[in-house]
Amino acid sequence: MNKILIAISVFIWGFASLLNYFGVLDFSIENLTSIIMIAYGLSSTNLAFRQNNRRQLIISSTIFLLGILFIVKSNYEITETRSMVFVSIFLITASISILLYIENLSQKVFLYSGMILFIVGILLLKFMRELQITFLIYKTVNLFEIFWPIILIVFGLSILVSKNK
Amino acid sequence: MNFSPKAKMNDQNLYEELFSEQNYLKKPDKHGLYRSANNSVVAGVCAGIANYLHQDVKLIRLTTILLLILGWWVAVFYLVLAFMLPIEKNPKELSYEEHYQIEQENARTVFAGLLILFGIHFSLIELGIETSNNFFVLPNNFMIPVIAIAFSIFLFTNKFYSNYNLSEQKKSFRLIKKRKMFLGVCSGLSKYLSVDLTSLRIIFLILLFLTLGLFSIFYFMLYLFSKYEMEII
Repeated sequence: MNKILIAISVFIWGFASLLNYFGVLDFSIENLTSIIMIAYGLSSTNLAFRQNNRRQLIISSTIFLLGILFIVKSNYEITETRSMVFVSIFLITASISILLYIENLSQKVFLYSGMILFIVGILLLKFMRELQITFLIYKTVNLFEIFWPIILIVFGLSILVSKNK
Repeated sequence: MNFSPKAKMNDQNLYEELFSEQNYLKKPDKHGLYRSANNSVVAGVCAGIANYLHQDVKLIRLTTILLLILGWWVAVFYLVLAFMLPIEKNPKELSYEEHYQIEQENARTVFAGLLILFGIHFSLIELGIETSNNFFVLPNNFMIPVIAIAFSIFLFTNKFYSNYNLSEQKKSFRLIKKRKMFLGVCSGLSKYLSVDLTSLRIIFLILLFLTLGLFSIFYFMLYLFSKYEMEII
């Protein structure tokens, strides 16, 4: 069922991009991709809840939240996008953690950690400038931007080399 | 090679056994080039080629993905093969569990291959080596959507076994001492979420780096509020 959802999303993306290419529709590819990500993320999260599939739940909720992040980024002019990445990591992880608690209400550990991450994220959002860590974030993200292709290669190779446990 | 009459007789018997009307229907097609019916990610072309060449399917799949670095023509060539090659007529019957294992292994290979492919692609861009913006005479803005539509059609027509182990999911999150590297949080989480441990560890490390180490709060929270899994002696 999830593969069918992926197929539908990819088909809509491809068809809409073709219409865009021929001038029937007029929008940016970034906008279209984020809308598809949101639509796929929502339906897939719903499906994951119905099937109690935790792995799908974390993947689809991440895609949904990243879709929101991209749509905000492509529609609004944000001056400090790098700080946005920093806070988003906390807020997205907090949301996923709370979703994991909703999926299995006996696991309060995810509720506590999710709530604490939310608080940390909001505090960072509010006091980032006062804490004067923006320059550190810029430095780190700059470093990441240089080395991220190598990180991807290492990541891929480690999956290939490691045994399926 | 043994050419004695006795060996010839044995070969004849083996041949008859293999190609008798009843058994022939059960044997997989190994002589021609076919698309695989029970080992496919998109259309089973790579598994078909691997069967034909007697090579590891993982290697063929990875090579195909990495060849995409040379251009989108590889994807088009794949789709042409997918449309032209016939599907295996008498595939080997696999159990539900075997299908699931094959699917998991395929997912790992494709995911790893795509990560390496994107890594190489963006490394080349960083080094100033531009990839072509056009596929032959057609622009990428046209070709990529067409490939996406064809890809989705093949996904529609495939049969998948992704939800096999849902009933076997762990009911509670526990830290695991046996496979721990630091406190056992990642190994516990990987078991609870049924995700790959190495991938989870690397994602944790990346997030830790991007958040200047503050992401460790999440790690320690999970450690503080959870117990270790009971070890069976």
